[in-house]
Amino acid sequence: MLAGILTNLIGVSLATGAIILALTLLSFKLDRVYGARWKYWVWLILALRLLLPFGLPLPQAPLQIAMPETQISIPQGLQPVPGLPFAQAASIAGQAGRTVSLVQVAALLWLIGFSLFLLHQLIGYRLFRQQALRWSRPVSNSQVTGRLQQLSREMGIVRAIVPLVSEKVAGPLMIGFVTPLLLLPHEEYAPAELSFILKHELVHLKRHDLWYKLLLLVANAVHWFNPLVYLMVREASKDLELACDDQVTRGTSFDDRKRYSEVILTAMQRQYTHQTALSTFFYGGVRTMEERFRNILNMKARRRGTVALLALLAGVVLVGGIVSCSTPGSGNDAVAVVKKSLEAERNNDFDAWVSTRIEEQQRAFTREANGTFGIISLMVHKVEVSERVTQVMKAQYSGSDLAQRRGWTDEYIAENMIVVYADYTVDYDNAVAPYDEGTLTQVFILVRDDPSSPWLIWDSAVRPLDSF
Amino acid sequence: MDRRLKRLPDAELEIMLIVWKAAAPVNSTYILEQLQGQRTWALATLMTVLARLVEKGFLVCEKQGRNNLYRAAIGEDEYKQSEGRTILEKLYGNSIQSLVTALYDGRAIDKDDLVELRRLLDSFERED
Repeated sequence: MLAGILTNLIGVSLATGAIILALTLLSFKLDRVYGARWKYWVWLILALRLLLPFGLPLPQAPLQIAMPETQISIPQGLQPVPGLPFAQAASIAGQAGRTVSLVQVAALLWLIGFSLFLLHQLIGYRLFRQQALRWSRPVSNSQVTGRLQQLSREMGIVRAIVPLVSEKVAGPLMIGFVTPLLLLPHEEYAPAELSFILKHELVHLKRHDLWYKLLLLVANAVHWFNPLVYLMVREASKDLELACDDQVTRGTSFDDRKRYSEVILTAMQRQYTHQTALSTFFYGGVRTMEERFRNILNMKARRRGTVALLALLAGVVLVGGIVSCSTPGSGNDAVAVVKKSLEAERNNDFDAWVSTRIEEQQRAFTREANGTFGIISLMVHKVEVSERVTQVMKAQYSGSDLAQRRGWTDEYIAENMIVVYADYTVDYDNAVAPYDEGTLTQVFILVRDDPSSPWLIWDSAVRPLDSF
Repeated sequence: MDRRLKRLPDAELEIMLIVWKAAAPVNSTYILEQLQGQRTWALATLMTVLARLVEKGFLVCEKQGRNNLYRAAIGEDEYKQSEGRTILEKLYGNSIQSLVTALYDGRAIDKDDLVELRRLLDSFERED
């Protein structure tokens, strides 16, 4: 399970990384044909792809808690067969508690990287916000507030934006997911200058670009080990600005575009002359600005690229399909096998029942010794795969003595073991079958030779699910 | 002057920023007006904070008829230099741009860069 999640994560990271690399290498060609908006959507799809396969990837605790020794009752009058998991559960659990597999180390490393990345971002964000707000005061220039309200109305923005002046910000910016705060380094802007600056920020707000950036950040945190994902975040942040510029200058003349570029350059110049300390740990900034100016001043109409986007979407989904093929299937087959087994018990059909067991047991079980199920009534309520117990079991068997004896590698276990549980109400003929009666949960471990082989029952135990 | 000034709490700094911004001494009504748009201040709270600032030596209160006028006793730049930055702030600079939508990436400024960008913009002018 853990191995499954990790291979899935790395698989998606590699596959998406390849697409990121290809897109970046081809960008000089693509950018001539398609507008920045195209890339904006491309990165969004890729970011979602990077996040989607992990619904709730709660990684396993690095050290397993030993399985509690509870009464194991095996119905169907079976004697524990040597090599059966539940018969050895206690001894295995004891070992698994102390063995830390390579997979667990990898999972722990991932978790540490993920936490550190998020922590770093969070601290930086909080500090920046705190400093910027501490040194902020309300805008006193009524032109700024007036123009802000007017433009908001024109652009159909209903959220109230709080304009503040803060010397701590390098250039005009917006911050805040709940209450949008507009922070300006000063408020002495010429009317035309002010309009461009406000428009730029309002377009970001209207397009929910902060949320877009948050999504990128989370994708980056999950794939913190992949340099290509950092590349993607950088490119996506740049394309976010290009797409925003495109919208601000849509349908305007060359002169207007020129003025808009000048406004940005003036703001940068002002920052340069006013700043006390340089903080340039960041390279390639000037290239980004060059690209933005070229983009703003580019009057050529470019295609929206809907078809190309759909093609890419299909490609991404396909790549995902290939990756997820290598991870355990849905388990529907395993559920069917367990249902068949229970059905056979009810019908007292030894042949059908034994056919659901692994080959080794098919040979060992005989009709005489194991063929009488003694069921008066059996009502099955639910048969389902338990992802959690599957994970617990896989962790227990990975690297265990039992697995070694059977020649099972961790990879084999990751792909070819599953746990299904059945809730049912049973009434036995106690003369034949003196087992627990009533509403019970039976947990089945199934294995298969390889992903293309059928699931077969390896062992089962009547035990509540939460005892695992 | 290199005497260490006490780091002002956010609320007190908020008032100081307004006083510094105003050219002439101001009264409490003016400050209240300026504070609109940020969190709401009650007059009583404001008076308390003003009194504390006077006590700390940041403000000087001048009586003018029935009005109290306040002017800064310590300059903005002087305070700014004295406040400095915490170690954590120094460590981070203002390098965090991941959850901000800015007009441009403020980390990227350098004199050569500006010259280069200026030249780029001018070259476009000549073309068209």
